[in-house]
Amino acid sequence: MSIRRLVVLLGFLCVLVPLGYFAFFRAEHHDANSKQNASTRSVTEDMVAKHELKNPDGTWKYTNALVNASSLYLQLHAHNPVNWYPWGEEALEVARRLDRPIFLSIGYSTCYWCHVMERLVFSDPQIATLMNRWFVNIKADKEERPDLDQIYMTATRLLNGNGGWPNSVFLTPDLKPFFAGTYFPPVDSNGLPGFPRVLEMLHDAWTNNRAQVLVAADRVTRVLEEEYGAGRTNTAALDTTLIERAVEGLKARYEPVFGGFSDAPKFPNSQALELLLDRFEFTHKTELLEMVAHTLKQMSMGGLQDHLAGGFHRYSTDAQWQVPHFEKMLYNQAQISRVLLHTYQLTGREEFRRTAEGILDFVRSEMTDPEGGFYAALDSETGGGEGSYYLWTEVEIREALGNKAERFFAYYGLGRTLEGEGGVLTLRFEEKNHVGGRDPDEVPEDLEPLRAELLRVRNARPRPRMDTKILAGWNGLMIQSYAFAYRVLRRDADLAAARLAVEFVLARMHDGAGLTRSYAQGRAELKAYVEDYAFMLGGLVELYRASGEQRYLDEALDLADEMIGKFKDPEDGLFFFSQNRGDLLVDMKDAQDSAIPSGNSAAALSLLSLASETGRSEYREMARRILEGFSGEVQRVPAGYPTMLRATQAFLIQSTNGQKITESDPVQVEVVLSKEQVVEGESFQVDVRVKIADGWHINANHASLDFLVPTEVQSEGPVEILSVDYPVPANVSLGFAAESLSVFTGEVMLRARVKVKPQEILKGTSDLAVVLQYQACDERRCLSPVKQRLALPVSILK
Amino acid sequence: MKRRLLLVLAVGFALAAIGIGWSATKESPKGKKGTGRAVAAEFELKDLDGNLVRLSDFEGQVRIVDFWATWCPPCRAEIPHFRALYEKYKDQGVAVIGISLDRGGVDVVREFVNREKVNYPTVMGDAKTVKAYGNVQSIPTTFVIDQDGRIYRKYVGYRDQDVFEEDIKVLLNILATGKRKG
Repeated sequence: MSIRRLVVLLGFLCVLVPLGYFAFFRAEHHDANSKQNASTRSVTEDMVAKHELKNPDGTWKYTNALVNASSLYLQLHAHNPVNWYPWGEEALEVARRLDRPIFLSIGYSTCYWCHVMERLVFSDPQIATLMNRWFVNIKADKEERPDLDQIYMTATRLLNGNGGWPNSVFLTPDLKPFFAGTYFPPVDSNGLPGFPRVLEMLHDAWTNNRAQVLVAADRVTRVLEEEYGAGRTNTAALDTTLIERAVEGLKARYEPVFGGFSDAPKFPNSQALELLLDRFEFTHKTELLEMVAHTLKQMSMGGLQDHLAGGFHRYSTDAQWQVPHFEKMLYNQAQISRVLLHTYQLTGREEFRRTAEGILDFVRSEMTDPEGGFYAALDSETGGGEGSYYLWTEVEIREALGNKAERFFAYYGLGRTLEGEGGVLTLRFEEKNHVGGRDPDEVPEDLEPLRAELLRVRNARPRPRMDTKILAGWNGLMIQSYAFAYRVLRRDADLAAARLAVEFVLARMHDGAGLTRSYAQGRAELKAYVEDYAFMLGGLVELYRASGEQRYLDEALDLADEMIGKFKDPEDGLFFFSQNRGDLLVDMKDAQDSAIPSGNSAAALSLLSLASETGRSEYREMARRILEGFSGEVQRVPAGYPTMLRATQAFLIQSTNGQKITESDPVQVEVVLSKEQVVEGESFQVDVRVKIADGWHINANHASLDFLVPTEVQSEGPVEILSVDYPVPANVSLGFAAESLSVFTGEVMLRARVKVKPQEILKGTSDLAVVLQYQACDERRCLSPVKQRLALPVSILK
Repeated sequence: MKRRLLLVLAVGFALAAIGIGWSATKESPKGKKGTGRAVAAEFELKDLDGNLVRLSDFEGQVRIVDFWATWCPPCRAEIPHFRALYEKYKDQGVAVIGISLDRGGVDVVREFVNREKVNYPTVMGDAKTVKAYGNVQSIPTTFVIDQDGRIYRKYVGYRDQDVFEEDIKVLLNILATGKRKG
């Protein structure tokens, strides 16, 4: 490919494809080359010899500036022959002084193809020589520098049409991107140019065709500035329209057989699931809950879940959730456990509770630092093989389980990997009914020792590497999930995990002036991003709710004020992504969710929780400005902004003027009639089914004490109540009260016998109703008494 | 016979029915530098004898404003505590105001107040006040307001007496409690 053609192509792409339409869910980028796994991998690894990077005496031949980094990912490149710099003034100054383009390579420690490129390309002394001669080479850890990652991943998508990691971007010395790709092999293969060829072309372009390069760089930069810069003038009204459009978008993309919203590769997309649950709670459209429950069930059955140790891998390479990429990210554990618990709350289905507990227990035993913080991620590869720790052959399983193997295979199967060597454990789908397959609820208990035995065998294998850095934001997500879990499940260990992690982050990752992003090797480093603050805020508020302890709310208020001081743009009220303003190509304000919620969305959501817990309206007002400020952008592809829309719904609920308020509505009522038509004067049965949320109760009939409001079916207009059968009440003792109360909890049925007074009957169907009176409390607070009118859709025959 | 199923939502609480809700009220001004506390909204409500009671009547004092109702067991459980705290601290500049959200009339409230020997003012709430205090939806909701008229704490749900006593002591400077990040 000539450089002329290349540059033309660049220009073409960045004009043709407007940002935001690229991907429905933006940053769930898959790793580079995941679709070509098998072929690329075998070709490149066979063709290139392993590079010897050590001297005969065992010392390293090369050492670069990354040796001083605390990041595991950067450390992994410290002995490359490439003269890597970390991102920083020193490297940027060299580039400016030498007038040399920058090669920026962004990856993370659990990224398989990042490791491959490190082994095959960056360890190659000959390739390194070209890199060192022509470019200033900078390595960045995506997880430490999400700001760089965001900007230059967008650039890659603009320049390349798609993106992934490792992200390989070439920049002018003033940081404007002009060429990008993801994984490059060491030599031309499978239609991908070898990295040396790319280096040569770009060096040639920089030397001989610089004007064209600069034009391309300027065009990309202009789009980035428009996308992320200040000055959002286009706004949409804050109402349910955008939320409904997002829900419709998700419904349209919903895949009814295996759940989820896309073909392969398939991501858990927890934020979209949370939006559907929130929407279900508001609209009570059961279809939404079913979409979430079905997706979670399918995810849990496939190899996406680690059936032996608990927890979830990052994403599935196929549309059936069968074969994942194997890394286990903290943010996935946090978000998937949260949405499972939320679904368990709404459905009562035990399988969701068990799967959530599996995640929480896995994080507790494997990903928790002795001091209480949570580790970032568990790698996918061991000994250069992706997922080999997790893969089984049928023979291995038979050896491990002996004559119990048949029993095991009655429930579990092996999803094949693309390489065809071994498979990943799945609950078998093909049996029973095709669509849903076997219900995970049906896996009998005698399978548990078999799984334990396999885990024991697996634990003897070489273990994947843990990236033990502790990231404030991701810890915030996990704290939120543990605290929420305590509210739902009341397991003390979950509350303890949340408390310890909060103590860790506040003690070790806050230096008095502000939060830090990362803690690794005993050092707290890098100024926190807005997402770190917003997720920690979310965690603290949830922990306050779970524990009832004021100090967590106080900490949340302090952090909120810090966040506002550090990130809020006084001009438009939106929050900057990063504190590194002025040092980046654009001072970004970001709204679209990626694998984690965006900083502005999470900030809006957290500020709204604070407003609701403290009554401080200024937080609600700040959230409103965020929601309005981004509404124009959200309008383009609403389903790409689930967290912003969750915040919008929370805001609308909080600001409703005396209309339907269901945020804290713990009581749902259904009416079931025994007949659709009744003859005049005939009595008929009205069943009133009342569902009371966990932790709440309504008073029995009769109420225990004379001042309490009893639950009562009452007559209205021509409908006469003949009798009501109330169920047997439960007795609850509340901490503060001496006497126990007689109440209804859970789901109860009130059976009323009614008759329509003949003289009142109008022709045909008339507007008939009964009234249900109730008053709900949980263990600490009460909601106002309600008199709810229940329409009776019945026709009266003369 | 075919059954018909009708899903009915529990629409709104009675508080909503009396027309409260959050509207675009003016943003509360920030408190004095460093405190970040919002100014507590002024109210003007009738006590059980029809006399007007305002928040500003207790200017310069620590004020505990308690939204409650007679049908609410946790609210009732808190009232003896407020009585005791008022008795103990009233001479040091602490006021308690109970705002009843009962809609069954003054008599029910009066009967309760007399029986419980409530020693501080009790007033009947209205939609405007409920709205001004952040759309109080569940009770008890209690605000602790500092001497400058700014909201120091908001508690939703039952709290023990010592929680409020701690706040009072902090605001009266009887007990200095340090916060993190010293």
